[in-house]
Amino acid sequence: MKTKSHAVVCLALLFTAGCGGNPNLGQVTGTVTLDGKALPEASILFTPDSGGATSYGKTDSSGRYRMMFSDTEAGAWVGKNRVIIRTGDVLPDNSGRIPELVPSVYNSKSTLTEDVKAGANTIDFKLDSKASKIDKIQISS
Amino acid sequence: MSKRAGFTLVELLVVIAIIGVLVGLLLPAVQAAREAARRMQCSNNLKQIGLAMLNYESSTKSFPAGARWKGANPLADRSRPNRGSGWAWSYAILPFIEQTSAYNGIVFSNRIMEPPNRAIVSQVFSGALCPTAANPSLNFKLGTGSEPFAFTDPGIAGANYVANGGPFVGSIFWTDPEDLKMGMFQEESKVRIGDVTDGTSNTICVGEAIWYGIGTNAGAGAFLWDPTWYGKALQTDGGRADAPQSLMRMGQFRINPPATAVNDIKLSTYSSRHVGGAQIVFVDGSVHFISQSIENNEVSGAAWRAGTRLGAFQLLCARNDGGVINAEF
Repeated sequence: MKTKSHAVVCLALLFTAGCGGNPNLGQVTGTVTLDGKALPEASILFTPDSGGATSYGKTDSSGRYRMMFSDTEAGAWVGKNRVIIRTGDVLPDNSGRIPELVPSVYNSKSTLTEDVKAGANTIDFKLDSKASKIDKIQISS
Repeated sequence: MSKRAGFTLVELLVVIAIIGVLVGLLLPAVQAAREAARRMQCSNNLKQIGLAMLNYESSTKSFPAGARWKGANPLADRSRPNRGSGWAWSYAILPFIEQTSAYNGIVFSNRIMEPPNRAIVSQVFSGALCPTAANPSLNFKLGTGSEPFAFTDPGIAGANYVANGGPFVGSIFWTDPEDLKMGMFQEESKVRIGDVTDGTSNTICVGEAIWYGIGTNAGAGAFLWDPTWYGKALQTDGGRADAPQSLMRMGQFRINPPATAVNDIKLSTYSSRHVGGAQIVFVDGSVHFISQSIENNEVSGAAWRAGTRLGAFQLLCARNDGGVINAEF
């Protein structure tokens, strides 16, 4: 006895994670160049003026970076951010251990600020090794 | 119609699928409950440390020094850097955290890895370890181990708790003497309750730090900045890094920096493997879970004295800033 049975079991289970991302964060990516050449191994900090905490980015060999808020969340705090770019160490205790290639106007004396908007931001930094003041940096978002 | 002798394949598949879905739903809940239990254990550890600090204060009228360089033995009274006996605040509170036998066995004037201390400081104290952090319970020194009292063997008991060295990185590294006036625990410090003018419920006492396996002063004699209990062995060859200082952390950088942050930031601040923040015990003995999103605008001591406003986290790390904290914590 043959029973033709056509059984199609469709289990489409979509477990969407409950967290829809931090609404305070805007995605920030871009490139860092020093005198027109890509700057690898540079550390980039976006510190919000008020409200939140710093995001960190690090450039790859071609100077590209992506800001990370935590190991699992990408982005930087939305709003006005103080920006610091350096290749050396942070602590005064270690100064000179890793050479600082970026002039102090971009790090210890930085007055560089960027506005991070909700959503995706592309911010490219064109650094000048002889810079003594900040030129306006092109932002496209 | 014949009698059914069993289940059809489809029925079996449906049952297996249903069981799979239920397990899939249940498993994250079970894991979350396990993590909640670990977090509670960590919170209890911090509570005990916070109470021990307060009991120490009641007995001696001041909080313990963050690090002790000057022993009773003149030989141990070496000039900084890296020449002291290596004891930290966690050694001082041992009698107040049910570790009296360890305390009595330690010869304070000897260095931390000198006999008879060597055998005692390698005893793991579970109350110093956060179960979520899941780091090894013993810390071994990085480097050559050629020093007479290096802790290549038998290792020194690990920890995940670090004391509040103040709001600015300069407080630990002596680069700015003004910064030294702001923290709870420094080299040879004796902070009294009366010095905590911001209020004991607004000032951090001890917080969490995970192990990154990174150090400073790389090369021979380098040591890891991962927290240990009792104190740290020290370098005999001079150098920039001072070992017990790694058992105090500063508030200048945010909690739980991501992997993209440089090592100097990771080893200066508080961190945990609990999701979204770190647990902190305040000077009044209350334990709080502080979000990693807490406001921190990373102001240096010099910038603060020039008038830059401090974010909430740096205000919590300073005992006498006089600032008003506009944040939930």
